[in-house]
Amino acid sequence: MHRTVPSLPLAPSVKVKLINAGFQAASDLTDMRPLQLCKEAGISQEEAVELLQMLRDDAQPQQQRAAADGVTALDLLHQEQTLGSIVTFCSGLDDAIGGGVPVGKTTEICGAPGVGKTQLCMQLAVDVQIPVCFGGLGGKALYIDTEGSFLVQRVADMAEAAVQHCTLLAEDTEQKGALEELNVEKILSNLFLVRCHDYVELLAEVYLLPDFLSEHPEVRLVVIDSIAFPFRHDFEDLSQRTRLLNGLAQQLIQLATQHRVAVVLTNQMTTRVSNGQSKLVPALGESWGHAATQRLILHWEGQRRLASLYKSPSQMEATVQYQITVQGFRDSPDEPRPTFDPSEVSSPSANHSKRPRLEDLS
Amino acid sequence: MLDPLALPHHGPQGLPVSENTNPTMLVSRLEGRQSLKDIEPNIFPADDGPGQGDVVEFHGMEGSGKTETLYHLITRCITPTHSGGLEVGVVFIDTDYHFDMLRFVSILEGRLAEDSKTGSENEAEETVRSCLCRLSVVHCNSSVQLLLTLHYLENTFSSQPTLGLLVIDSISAFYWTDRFNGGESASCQEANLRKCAELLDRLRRNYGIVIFATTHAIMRNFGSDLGVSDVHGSSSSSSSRRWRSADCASDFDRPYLCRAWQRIVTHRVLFTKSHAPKDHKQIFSTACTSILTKGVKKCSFCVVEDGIKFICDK
Repeated sequence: MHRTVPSLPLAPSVKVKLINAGFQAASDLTDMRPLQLCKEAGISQEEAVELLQMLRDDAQPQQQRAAADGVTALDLLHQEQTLGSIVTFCSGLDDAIGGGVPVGKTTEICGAPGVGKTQLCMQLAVDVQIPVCFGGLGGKALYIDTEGSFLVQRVADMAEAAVQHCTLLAEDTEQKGALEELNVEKILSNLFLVRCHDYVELLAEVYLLPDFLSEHPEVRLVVIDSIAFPFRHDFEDLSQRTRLLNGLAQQLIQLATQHRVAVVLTNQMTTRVSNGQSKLVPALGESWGHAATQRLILHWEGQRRLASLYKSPSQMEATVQYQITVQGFRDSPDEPRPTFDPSEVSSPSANHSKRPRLEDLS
Repeated sequence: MLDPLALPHHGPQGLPVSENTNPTMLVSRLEGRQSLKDIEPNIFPADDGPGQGDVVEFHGMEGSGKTETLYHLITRCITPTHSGGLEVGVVFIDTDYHFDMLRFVSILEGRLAEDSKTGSENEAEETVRSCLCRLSVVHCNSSVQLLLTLHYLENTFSSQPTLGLLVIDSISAFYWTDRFNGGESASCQEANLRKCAELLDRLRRNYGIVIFATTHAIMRNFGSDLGVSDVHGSSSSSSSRRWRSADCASDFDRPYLCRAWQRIVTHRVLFTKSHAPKDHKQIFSTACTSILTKGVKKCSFCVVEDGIKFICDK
């Protein structure tokens, strides 16, 4: 049914004059000129102009909305394929999560203290800068530190190892040319560090991120280590905490999709007691569990470090073994490929300390 | 169905009765209309059913059985005489857009099945089809369209003597729209309905048709005491006293349509729904008053699968 004059959002006096002049349908008015309508209906010229403008605006939004709904699934597939991912230097983990930490999504790394969460984040901050001709992104990184566990000397060691790794891989002229630009000082200068001491500073920093990423479009990685620390102490109003965390999650997902960055968060573990049993689960509650696109849990099994893919919309369930070496986050020499049987027996490490640092075999 | 969009534009048409018509032809044309006085003895008073030119108003709240009663009365009109019907053509103007053809056909089939015990299915279908040929349904979505439809129907009534009943369900459908479109002037608010009422008055006088119209009960009746009504002036109190009876008073039976409509109404049927269902069946009540006779004709009914079923209380 076409739209009638009584249903238009007009002043009653104008509407009565239009109806008395014989205008019944809105389509009767669209082709008229303001002066003509002013004479026919007995309304003022300002009212006629305003009325015709309102009719024109009323017709437009439908067309504009139709144009905005034009993204197809095939377009999305092409966009995701061009985004790439960030390697971790642990090929087993890279295979398990689909080539590396994905760009355009949020990834959460959960684990107990000392299992290697910060090591993985620092490794990613270095790996994002690997040149494109070496299979990297050639981007920059923003590191938001809330625990104070960022150690620049450790990043320098990882950067040195990455440069050595690329030097060994260099074969053609392009790669040799890129190597001249790749050094420890360059890697450290492309890593932005922000220190946040409480949740207010963290929320303020995330609020400023869109502007920062617009000014630095080369940044392809945003790390928040950790997201749990500011919210797990000095917070008495738990419902406010949930609201703030959900808002933060929305902002981070929006950042990842609009600015095409990989957002990596770390989370701590807590103990859940049910039916007389207790087990370690990620902190911040069940509602936070839905925030990240992918979730990794780093955990111990005996003296082995294992990484399990806990939540992912695109990859199958997998658990891989890794180690922390002088060079950084690496494959375990015992199991270089992902294994689907965590109970498989393998030779344990000779080192018995809590945080084993295997010496470089080479 | 008549297409209301094919209606002619503004301008009242002249009466088809020419000046050369002598009284004999006029009387013979009026005699062609079937009388509907005995359409339903349960609802209308004895010897005071709706005759030629009468206007009956069905007034009640939503869900009180008005439309269901209309279905019952229309099936009485369009069924053939050997089935107990009146064999009269009916025009149904649907302004609320809730005429349910499936429900109507099932009521019609239920009524026809009571009489025709023998006969094949083809004969039954042909009977239903011939009955439905006597019913025309028109939809209107505004009071202007209703006015144009009534102008168009004047030709139909003058050319078809078998048409005896005009049903408008409901004539108050555009009350709020007209009030809103009329601005601050009360006469402008009532202009369309007044023209419709004047046209209906002319139709009933010239062609002797009976008019059934439903009205929504939306106005609460404050000050139901007759003494309080007198304070507001003779015209409003006389109008209120005209339809008011101490026995059938309810909170929502105040007339609110224009005076031209209230002036032509000859019968008023109030519909109420009882609060407590009896034997898991909803009981409806009607109270019919007429301008010719005193007293109130009451009855009760419930709605069953085949239509309405009257309950003998007296």
